[in-house]
Amino acid sequence: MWKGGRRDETSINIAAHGPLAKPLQAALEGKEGSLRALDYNGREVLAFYHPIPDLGWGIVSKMDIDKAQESFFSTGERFILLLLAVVGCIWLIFFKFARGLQRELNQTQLRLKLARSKAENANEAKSKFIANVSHEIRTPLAAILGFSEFLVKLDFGGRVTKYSQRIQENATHLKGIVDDLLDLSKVEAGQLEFEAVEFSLKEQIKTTLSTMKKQAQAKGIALTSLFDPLLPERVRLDSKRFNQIIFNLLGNAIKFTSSGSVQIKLMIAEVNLLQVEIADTGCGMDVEQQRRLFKPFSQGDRSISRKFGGTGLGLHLSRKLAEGMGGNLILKESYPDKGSTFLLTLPFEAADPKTNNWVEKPRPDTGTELVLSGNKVLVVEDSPDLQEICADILKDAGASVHCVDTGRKAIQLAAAGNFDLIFMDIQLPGMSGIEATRELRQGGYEGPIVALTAHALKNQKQNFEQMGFSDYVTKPYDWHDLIEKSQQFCQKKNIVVGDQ
Amino acid sequence: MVAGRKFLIFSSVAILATGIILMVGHLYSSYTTTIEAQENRLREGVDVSVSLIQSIYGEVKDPVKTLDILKKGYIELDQKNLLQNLSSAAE
Repeated sequence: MWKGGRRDETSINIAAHGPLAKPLQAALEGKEGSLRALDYNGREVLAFYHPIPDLGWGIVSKMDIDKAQESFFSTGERFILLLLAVVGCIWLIFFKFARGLQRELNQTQLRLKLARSKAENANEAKSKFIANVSHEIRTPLAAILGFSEFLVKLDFGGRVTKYSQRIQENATHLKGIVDDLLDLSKVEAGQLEFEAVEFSLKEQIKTTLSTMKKQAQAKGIALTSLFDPLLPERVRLDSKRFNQIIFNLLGNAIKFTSSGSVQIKLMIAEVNLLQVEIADTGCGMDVEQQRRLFKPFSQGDRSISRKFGGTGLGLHLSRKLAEGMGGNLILKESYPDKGSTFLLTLPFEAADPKTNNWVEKPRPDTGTELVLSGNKVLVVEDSPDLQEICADILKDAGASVHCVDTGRKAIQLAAAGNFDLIFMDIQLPGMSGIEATRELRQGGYEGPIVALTAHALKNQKQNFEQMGFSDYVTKPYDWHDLIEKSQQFCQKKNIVVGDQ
Repeated sequence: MVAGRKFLIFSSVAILATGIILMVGHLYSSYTTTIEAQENRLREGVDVSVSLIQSIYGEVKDPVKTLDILKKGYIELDQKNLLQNLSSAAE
């Protein structure tokens, strides 16, 4: 269809307002081209316009837009469009889904982070709580142990001595549990330290066996030991922790064996690799019980804790200790009603036989001798019970003892009195023992000061020396340890005085 | 693990986006070609019509008469028959 128009004012006016107005107007203005417009029927058309210069007319040719696009939609492009639409939809759905998933993942991660942080805080709080409670329990426990030891030593005879011994045994057992709890909290906090010292494996095992012999004999169990001929005479290992593990394994073996035997076998598996096998003929364990064995606070099953007692900490702690020493502790085999075998593997250093650093020192018999006679000792301890125990031990050895309960009083008294030795508690109210010692040393005090501590590891003398102490003694007070240290420093002083 | 997953997602999205861009480009090019072909058809028809109108005007030398001739041929026609009708109207 075509339409023409004359290029005068009227025709331009008509063209400007009627259908196909734009192409007509463009044609009348002398332009040529194509565009989309609405025709007389209101349908969208593709219009081509062209001027007729001689007449001043314009001409427009149009075609339905559907017809113009027909060939485009009838080809493969339709498929591509459909594909694009489908892909777009899938993409939209996928992204919506992925975004939802991502959001959920982020939230889960956040929740996990919070939960982990909470758990870590709770664990830290628990460890601190256990450490504090253990310390609080150890102080009265040390008093119970000290006083019961006094009672046993005083030997009243009859039921008094028997009951005193029972109190001491139970207090020692309770101390073991508290020590285990404290160790566990240290393991979880990663604060457990190990210290290799030179000692004789055979002697250590024999001592442990002799300690446990009574327990085994009471149940009619044979307690035997077997040593590999290749076992070195002396080794370097954390003897305290090694003994703790052996004591725990042997204790368990005896506890869960009603008849038969318990055997400990020490072997050299490889160069510098020790294997300790502890086998019993006890009740053994089924697979389910074995699965729970090394978990903390869990025993084979509930009936075991009811029947045999125990906290369920021993094996977990023993394994942690073994791992801390670079070794491992496993259950080698166990059969119900036939017995169990545990295998402890520990790396060690063989001590050089040429350098005999290790000397078994005979413990002095301090029970009756007045070895500290004529010596003045100052005891600085805030717990009245522990103060009394410490003072009585020293007094029994012949020392003249003065007691104070604060660091400030200790400084005043030390400056005024001529003491041969000062025992200084580390944890004192107000001024700590460390601060008091520092002040004494800064004030020119040169006499021996021995620290009293509940937390020290063995052979930490160097650390205490750096703080101004001459040495240290651990709590609960060991009678022999206290006298030995006192003797050591008082003798030194006596020798110096004698030389002058 | 996280870096690998991110790379996998990024590369799949990149491949998909490239594919879509290529398809859209192809579609646009194809559509433009189709419309241009239709415009050319219209242009050819218009060129013939313009030539005829100018021929008629050249003969009669009067726009009104030219218009009359054209009015006689002004009927619904497709472009193929336009030349014949216009020729008849001019005669």
